[in-house]
Amino acid sequence: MKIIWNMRFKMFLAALVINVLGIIFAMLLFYHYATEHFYSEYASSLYERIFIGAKNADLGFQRIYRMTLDISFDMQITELINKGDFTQLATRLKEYREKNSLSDDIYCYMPAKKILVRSEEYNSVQKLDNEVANTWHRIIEQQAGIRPLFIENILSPATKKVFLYKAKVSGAEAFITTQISERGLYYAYLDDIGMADSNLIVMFDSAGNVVSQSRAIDKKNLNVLFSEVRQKNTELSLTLGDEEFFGTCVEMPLSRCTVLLLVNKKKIYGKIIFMQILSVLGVIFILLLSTFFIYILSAKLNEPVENLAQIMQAVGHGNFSLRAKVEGNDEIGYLADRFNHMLEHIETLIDNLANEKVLKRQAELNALQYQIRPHFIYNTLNSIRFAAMIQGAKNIGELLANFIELLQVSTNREGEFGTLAEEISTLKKYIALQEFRLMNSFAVDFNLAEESLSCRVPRLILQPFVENSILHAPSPEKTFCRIMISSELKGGELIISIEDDGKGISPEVLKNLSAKPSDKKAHGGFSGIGVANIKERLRLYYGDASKVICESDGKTFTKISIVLPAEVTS
Amino acid sequence: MTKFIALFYVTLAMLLIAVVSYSIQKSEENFSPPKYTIGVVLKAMDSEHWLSVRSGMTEAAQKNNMRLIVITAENETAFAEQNKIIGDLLANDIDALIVSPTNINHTKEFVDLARKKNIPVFSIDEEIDEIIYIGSNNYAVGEMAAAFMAANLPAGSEVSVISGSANQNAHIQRTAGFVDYIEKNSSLIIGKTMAAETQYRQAMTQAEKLLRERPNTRGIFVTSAIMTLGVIETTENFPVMIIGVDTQNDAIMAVKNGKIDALISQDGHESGRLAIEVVAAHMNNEPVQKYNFIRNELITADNAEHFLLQEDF
Repeated sequence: MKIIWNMRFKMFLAALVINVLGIIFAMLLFYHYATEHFYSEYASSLYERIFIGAKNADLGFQRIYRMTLDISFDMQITELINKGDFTQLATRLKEYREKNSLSDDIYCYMPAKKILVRSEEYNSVQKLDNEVANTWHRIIEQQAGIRPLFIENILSPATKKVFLYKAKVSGAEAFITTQISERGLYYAYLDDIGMADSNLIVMFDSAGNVVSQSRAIDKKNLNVLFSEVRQKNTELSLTLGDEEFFGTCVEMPLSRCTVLLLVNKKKIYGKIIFMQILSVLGVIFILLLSTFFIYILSAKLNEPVENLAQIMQAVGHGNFSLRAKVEGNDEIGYLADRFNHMLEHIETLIDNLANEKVLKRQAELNALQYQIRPHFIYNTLNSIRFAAMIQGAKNIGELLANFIELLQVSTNREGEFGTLAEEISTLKKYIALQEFRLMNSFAVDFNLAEESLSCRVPRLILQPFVENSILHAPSPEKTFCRIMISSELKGGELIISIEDDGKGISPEVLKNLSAKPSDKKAHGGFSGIGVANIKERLRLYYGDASKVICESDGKTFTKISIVLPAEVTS
Repeated sequence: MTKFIALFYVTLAMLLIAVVSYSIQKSEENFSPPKYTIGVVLKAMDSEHWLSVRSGMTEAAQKNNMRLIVITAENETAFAEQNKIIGDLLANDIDALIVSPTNINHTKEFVDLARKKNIPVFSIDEEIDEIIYIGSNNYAVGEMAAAFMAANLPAGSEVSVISGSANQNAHIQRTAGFVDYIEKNSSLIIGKTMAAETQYRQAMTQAEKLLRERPNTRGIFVTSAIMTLGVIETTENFPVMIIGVDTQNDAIMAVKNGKIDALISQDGHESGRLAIEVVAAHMNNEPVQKYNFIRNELITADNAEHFLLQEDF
């Protein structure tokens, strides 16, 4: 089970690693672009807000500019100045002032008479002393056109900062000036833009002077700010003192003033940290979810492998009847299929092996039984032999001894081969038995080459042929036959021949003998079975290297020659 | 397994492409402060026509990344004030000036000043010599009105013109177009051509005077809508055909009600938009023609509804 777990675990781990890397990479990208986008969007929203505020402020300036111009072109004003009706003039100015709430007050200054007419209820006509008149003249000379002049109004009871527009009255030696108080403008247009106390609003004029601001900033910082503003950067990020700001600015086309809005970064950081937390939570959530799915997936993918491994283990414990489940058309499916085939094959092999074992045991038992019988026969024969000896029948005793020896040789399982000498010795015992049986019907002569005696020959190959000669050679005409057994080594072959001078074999029978064992027919006289047996044995031992040749004229002789490859035993 | 790896890489590549294309697209989207400041001085802001001109300009300016300073004089006669404003604007670092002068006889001063400061000047609705013009083909407007009268009045009928300020080229051109067409191409007779301030009351009194002096008048061509509205106060009970100029809702309503017989359209929104486009083309060094005409169409009771809808009500 450990291997299976490992396999699944490895797969799970690999998928998880790729997954984690992918998600983290995607999230980093996402986070990077999200923050970038956030800053840019934030800057653009700031810009939009400040743009509208600045536009309104600019329209305020334009209205004051237009009003100043209107007053200067007002024929009635010219008339009143020329008539010297200053009280009426003041009333007229007051009417104008009331038309535009942004205007703080309106002055009409006549430099020749050093008279100032104001749009006020109280003390509306003033005669200025020389010094004040000159200063005022110098101040208002600085202003012309559409851009307002930012000054300290020295003529108001309490000195205050104002924006000033001036126009020369057409057809009279007089100047109309309209003042807008800095605070008035600030609260009318700029204050809403700032929203929070931590934020900063600064308004510069075209020359870089601060003309309005939400709170005091030291001069060094203002210079920094203005250099930023000069670049007309709509997305700026800077540090003032120990505070970090993010901001944007808009230049007003008419007054050429620039409004700068700086938002304390602490505020944005809060949002960014929120975004970070959101990203991290997102990553964790997606990771958990994907881990779950990956686990399920890897389990699903591994299921066939695990099944196969389990089956293998069970088979390993000896349960060959189990078969693996073949699922799908992939490598695992193929493996399972092959494994099943292998199991079937093994099962057949085992069955065969078991059968063979049973058969072998049966054969062994049979063999044992066969061994028991000859022993019993030997023992009995030996007992009879000893009885014969005791009773003085020496002849019978010898016969029995020969018979027993012959029987032993014929049932000997020790070896199928022996030397020719042993074979001849066995044959002599057989001949002695037959001599006893048939009494002087035949005689056997041996003509054996000395060197052939140590040759290796199959046991009992001569006996059937000798038996044939003994039994079938004598005829009524010739009752006594001579049998000659000879052997020689010639050209690597051992030739053993059995020749008799009996009645011979008819060509018919001879032909039958030469035929293949399967074709032969049982024949009354010559024992076909014995000869056929010999021929078959020789064929099995030597193949085509051995021959059995039968020769006979059918009247006076029969000669059987056995040709074997000469195998001299050491 | 190779399939999975391939899939992984393909997905990754697609993601990268998406991100890159998105960031490229984003950098294109990035806003920038307006490039040009255009000074616009119009004749007046007391009629629907000029308000729609300004609206068209503002819309086109936003599209072309420009900002406008639109200032108008008190009324259409205050040329001194207008010239003062133009002078102040020229002193205020503007990149181009669009003017609709109240008096064609007093344009040389600021045209010269602008030339000296190398600030291009464009005229809208009112032609100035050698200055690129955007607006109606006013001569053709007069001819259209004449053609309508010639087709709808019996031969020999007497027709007259009540024109706006004689100091304004638009009115002069419209009158000339009308008179020339009637004289050359119709059997109608020109009665009288009168000029007045382009204002409601003046038009009313002029019409009264005309009908008193020439009771046989069967048709009056009035060269501005605001004047036409004044004229119909007087002519309501007379069998007189009235044709005006300008696309403005109150006048179109009067056409629909049958008080005015026809109007020659002059879409302020379109001329405002066209003016800014011409300026933008000029700033981008593209070739610009001297005359940039807007479409003028005949508005009658039949199609008045269509022009009303155009006004976005």
